Amino acid sequence: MDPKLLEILACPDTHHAPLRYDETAQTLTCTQCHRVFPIRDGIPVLLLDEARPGEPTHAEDSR
Amino acid sequence: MAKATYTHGHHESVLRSHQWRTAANSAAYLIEHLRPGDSLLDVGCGPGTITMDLAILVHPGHVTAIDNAPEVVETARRSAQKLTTGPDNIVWEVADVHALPYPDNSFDVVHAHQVLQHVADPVAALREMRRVCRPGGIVAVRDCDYAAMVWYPDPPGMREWVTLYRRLIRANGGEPDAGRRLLSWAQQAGFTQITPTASTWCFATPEERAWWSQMWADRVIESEIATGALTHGYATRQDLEHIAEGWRTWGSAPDGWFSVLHSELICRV
Repeated sequence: MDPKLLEILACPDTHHAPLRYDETAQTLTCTQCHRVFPIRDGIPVLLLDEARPGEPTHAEDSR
Repeated sequence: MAKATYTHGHHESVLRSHQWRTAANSAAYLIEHLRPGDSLLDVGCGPGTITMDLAILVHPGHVTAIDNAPEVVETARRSAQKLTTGPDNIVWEVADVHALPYPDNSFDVVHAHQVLQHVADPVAALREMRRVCRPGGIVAVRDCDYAAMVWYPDPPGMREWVTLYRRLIRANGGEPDAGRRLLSWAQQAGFTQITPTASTWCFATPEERAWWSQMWADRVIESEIATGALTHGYATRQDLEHIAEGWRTWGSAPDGWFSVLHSELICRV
């Protein structure tokens, strides 16, 4: 995914926080609510209904 | 938030109709406002034929095309990639107009064709489109009006068709007579600089009649319209056959004429 495209993407939730791209997992994670949005065949799926619930950041760090 | 279902579904007969759409026949009111270098968001892109035309007009600007149906976005992207002369400035994403995945003031132009008639909350959708449009940019929307569909001759089945459609779109959370309400919705969404116009599709040559009538006959029998009508108990299989036969009769009339009225708005942000 082109980093330039990531710049214009934001979480669809009302806070519209920036997303973090995980190239290996092919996901976009909200930097505020930590919801995880899938990228399927190169197409980001930015639907709140399709997102995985967020995990706290410290849990990710301790892995 | 209340959900609306896309009444037409995405059967081949539906996409056949949507793929006919071009910027020239479906977004002419917008073309004069587009400048090379504009960034454009196309909401509810469907198979992407209008999107691809718009992408050529704003090149080297970027187009973001979204639809809430993942399989439709994938199909659109594939058709864009197939065109050797196709535009290289489109990105495809799955998103919902009620919760757009972009920061405020992201685009010069935000466009939606035949979308607001199918959404749960058209006023909220317009507010969201305005949010992602930069000050000085435009939100451009176009919607038809089912109660204003006009045709001749009027074989049995055709009136049942429009009645059934209007019921189904309402049952799915949409508004079939969206055209006449578009200006009101935009005003409720807070737009103050609105240029409202109207335009039509007209199907009256032998080729247009054959194509338009066959597409509808197939759509009534095979698309999600049929499933929806049967599930809601609005029609029996026999009723649907009757409607399809009405379309075929109209299509074979040498003097057949059909027009679709559309409302269009250019809303300055």
